Parts: sequence; structure tokens; C-alpha cells
Amino acid sequence: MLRLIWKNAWRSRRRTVLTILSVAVSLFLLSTMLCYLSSGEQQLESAGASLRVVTRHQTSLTFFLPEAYTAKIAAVPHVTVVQGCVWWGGQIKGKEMSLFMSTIAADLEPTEKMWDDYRFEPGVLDKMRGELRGAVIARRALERAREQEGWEIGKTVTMTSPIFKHDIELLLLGTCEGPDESIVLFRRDYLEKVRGNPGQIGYFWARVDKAENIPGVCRDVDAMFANSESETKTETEKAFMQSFMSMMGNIEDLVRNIGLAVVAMILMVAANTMAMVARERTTEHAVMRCLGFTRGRIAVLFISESVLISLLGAAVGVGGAVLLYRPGKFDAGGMAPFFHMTPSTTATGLLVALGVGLVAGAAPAIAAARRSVVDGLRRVD
Amino acid sequence: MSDALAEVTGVTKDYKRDKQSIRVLEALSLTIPRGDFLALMGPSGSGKTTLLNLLAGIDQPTSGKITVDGKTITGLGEGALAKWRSRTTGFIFQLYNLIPVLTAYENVELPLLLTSLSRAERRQHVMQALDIVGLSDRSKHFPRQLSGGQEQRVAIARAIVVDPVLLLADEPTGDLDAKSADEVLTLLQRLNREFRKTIVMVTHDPKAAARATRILHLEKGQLVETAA
Repeated sequence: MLRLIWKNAWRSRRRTVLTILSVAVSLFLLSTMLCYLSSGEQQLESAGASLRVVTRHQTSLTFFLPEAYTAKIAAVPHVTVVQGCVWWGGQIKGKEMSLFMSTIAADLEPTEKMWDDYRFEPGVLDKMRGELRGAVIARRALERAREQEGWEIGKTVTMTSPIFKHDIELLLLGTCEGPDESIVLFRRDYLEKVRGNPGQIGYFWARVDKAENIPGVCRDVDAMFANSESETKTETEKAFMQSFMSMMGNIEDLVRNIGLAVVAMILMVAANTMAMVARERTTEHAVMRCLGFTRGRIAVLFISESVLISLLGAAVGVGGAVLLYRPGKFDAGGMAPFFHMTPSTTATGLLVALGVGLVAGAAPAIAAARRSVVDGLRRVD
Repeated sequence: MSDALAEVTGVTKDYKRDKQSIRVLEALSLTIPRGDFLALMGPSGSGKTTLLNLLAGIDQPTSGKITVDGKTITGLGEGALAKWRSRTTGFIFQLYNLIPVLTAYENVELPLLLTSLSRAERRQHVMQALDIVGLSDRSKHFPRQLSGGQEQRVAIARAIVVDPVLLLADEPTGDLDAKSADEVLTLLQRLNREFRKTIVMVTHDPKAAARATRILHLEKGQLVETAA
């Protein structure tokens, strides 16, 4: 029976190859979208285990907070270290759309304690202490920038910001490795000097001693600044990243909807193919029924063929995505650090293919099985 | 007749086309003895193929009863009928109806895939059937690589591979040249005489009908017997 299914599937080679390619391209697109969605989820997941909390202006991330809050937050029970930061944005001057880098101006001293999930090149933070324009860059970000712009450690680069009107010149002193593969960290006092407007903080990172104390710290910090000129909103790193991502618009929903459209498209292509196949084999199905094949067996043979074609498409499309989007091998340009095929995204792609095969084959299979033998035999191809 | 293989008793068959009901067979009764080679003749629309389909269990009469090899097949469910067909009948079509992507061997093997026979046993049956029709040397050929006559012989091998008691042939020579038609008819005669297969053959061709042991004419759904 398997041989019959295989041979039937390849009866019209060109049509089968085209259908497989259509399914493959669609599943590759779907896998890419799933990778994007999963990348965001993994980012949030990795942030979920963090002991860091973020304090920002209650109104919006675009409002500044006074630098004086640093000491006040540090005095809250269970807070071990506080770091003031400003989101710079970070684009290469003259090539604003070419590379994305999370460029952040931060207080230097708390860096090592605050970011213990990052490995800094030995001595790089010491070098930054002696160089106002000094910056540390994520190893992957440097690799990308080296490839596109010829960046190297020791080189001075000019960066521009989508938020601030000033340009900054950074001296690359070394690299770091951590969850955010697009990070560029430089000294906040340098930014203050460039802007000439000291004492303003975009947001504070605070590290809490234990996970169970995080809700209390968030509550205490916000209570401390309640009814002040600059009220705060303190939240976990995960919640902060979620709100930060939502600033980019509802891209996830958009991607999800495009994914559904892609699935519908594959379904239509596969269903069209199987409907044509069923029409062409009307007499043949009737003959098989004469030989003793039951309606159910005809339907199973037909659906199996549809599933086979769909799974061959998945082997090409999802398999291609697995090969291309390997962890550490594929670079999504810094926007999505966890952009790779996970076992779950691979399984989703395969399940979609299986579902498409079943659904696309079901309607023509049922119609073929229900047609009377006499009607089938009467039909002349 | 005590050794009847098939008995058709008072069978009426109506077809519905749009809102009209067309009577194709009317209160038809017929006994087919075991080992008979019966030719059914008659003008188009006389009900020959309908009667053949009813005997094969691929259509149900509007009323009446059909018994084949001791089993009443009227009223049987689809699953039971399919099972019964796979063991009891062999069907030969005018246009051969072989599966084009399967070799002659694989086409003949097809009905055996519904049995519990092992691969080796299936092989033995298939080669025996192909040997009977004189095509054991063409087992690896695809239908497109065979002549019309050879294709029909493969179709006959497929029909006899399960060793059915009843062979039903619908215009088996209708699409063949005279020489091939003669070969096919000789083969059917051999199956009837040597292997004691009961054969019911629908044909328009008097020469083909003359090879049968009995000829029946159908006219307007009624039987008119003629001596062979």
C-alpha cells in the first residue's frame, strides 16, 4: 500500500514538485515568523529569571527621572545595587538603517554587579574608567559591524540617535557576551557632557537580593516617589521588556496574522492539487472499489497521499529553516537575539504540514469515497 | 437447477434522472449455473451492464433478490459487499482500467493487498495468474509499455488472481483489434473450460458471444434466451 501511495504521489511529477515547493516556501516563511515570535518569548523568558527591576517615569519611558533617585532607590531594603541608564538608540552615522544596536549610556561602577549574566572581556571596564568615550560592545554586534563597517576594537566610531540630536564618538575598548547580542554600553557621564544637561536618568536598574523580595521592592520604590513631581513605575525586567516591545507596535499580532494567512495559502494550494487528483482518478477509484477496496480504504489512501506531499514540503521548508536558523549560526541583525529554530517551532511547522495534508486531502477523499461505483465507471476520462 | 452459482429473482432496477424514474430492468429472473459462460447481448440501454453491475454487487436492485455462491448480496452493507467482491468476483472492463503507475505485476497484486497473504505468497499467486494469461515475462512492464491485448490480459490476470468463482466481463473485446480480441476470448474460454470459472460477459459483438456456452438477449429490461 505504501508503494501505491508513493507511486500515486509522483504520478504527475511536475505538479507534485510544484505543490511540494509551494508548501515548502510557505512553511519556510511560517518557520521564519515562528522564529521571530519565539525569539521574543525567549527574550522574555530569560528576563523572567532575572533579579533586576526597572524604575521609570510613571507616565512614559520618554520622560526623565532625577539622578537623585539613585541613592534613594539604593536605600530601599533588599536592593543591592542601582544603575542609572539612558537609552541612546544607536545608529551608525550616515547608515541609519544598516545595523541595529541597543546603545545605552550607563553608570559605569555598578555595571559588573548589575549584569552578572554578561561576560565582560577582562579589564575592559577598567579601561572604560580611564576613557570618557570608552565603550564595550557585544561580540556578535562587533562581528556584524566589522563585516559591514570595518569596526575593530581600538577604533573610534561615530554614532547617531533617533532620540537625541547630538552625535557621539565612542572608542571601542572591548567586548562582552550575554543575552543581548546587540548591546553597546558607554559612560553616562560622557552623554551628559555631550548633551550639556546633567542629572537626567532615563530609567534605573536595581538589583534585588532574592526573587521573593521583588514585588516588595517594586511597591516600596513607587510608594517612595508617590505624589512627587516625578512619580515612578517599577516593574520586573520581563514586564519592562514587554512594555518596551509594545512600543514597537503590535508586530507580534501582525506576524501571527501573516502566519495564519500563510497557512491558509498552503491549504488552498494543497487542496487544489488534491481536488484535481481526485477528479482525475474518479474511474480508478471505482475500479478499486470493484476489486474490493472499501470506501474507507480509498479515503485513507488518498489522504495519505496528501499528507505525504505536505510532509515532503515540510521536509524541504522546515528542514531548510532548521539548517539556516541554527543557534549561533544565523544573525537576525541584532533585533532578535534568540532567532533560531527551537524543537517547538520545528514541531509546529511539522504539525501544520500534517494538518494541511489531512485537511487538504479530506474533502476530495470523502467525495471520492462517497461517489457510487457505477457513476465512477460510467465516467470517461 | 441444483448447481446454480447465481440466482437473480424478480429483480427490478429503476434509475432516477432528475425527477424522472427510468426502469432499466423489470422483474427479471435468471439462473446462472456453476461453470456457465454466459454472453449477455442487447441494444444500448437494454440493461446488460446494469445486470452485470448487480451481479458484481456494485449496484443494488430496486426490488428483487440476487444470490451468488449461496450468499444473498441484496441488502448487504458497503463494507460487507466490498469484502464479498474481493473474494467472489473478478471484473474485466472494456478499457482494461489498469493503474498506469503500477507495473503489470503490481496491478495484478492489487486485489491481494486486501488479503492477509505474505509477500512470498502474493508473489506466487501473481506469477501464476500472469502465467495463465501468458504474460509472466512482462511482469515488470508498465501498462503504457503493453499493447491493448496485453493490457486486457493483465486485467484478466488481476481478475482471476484471487481465484473468484464468478468472472464478470463488460465488453472485454470492445476496444481491441480482431487478433487481440480473439486471444482474449480464447483465454476466457480456457478459464471457463480448464479452470471451471463461471463467466458472464456483456458484448455487442456476435462473434464474441458465439464463444460463450449460452447467449441471452436483453430487450427493454427483459430477457430473451437464444441458443449458443
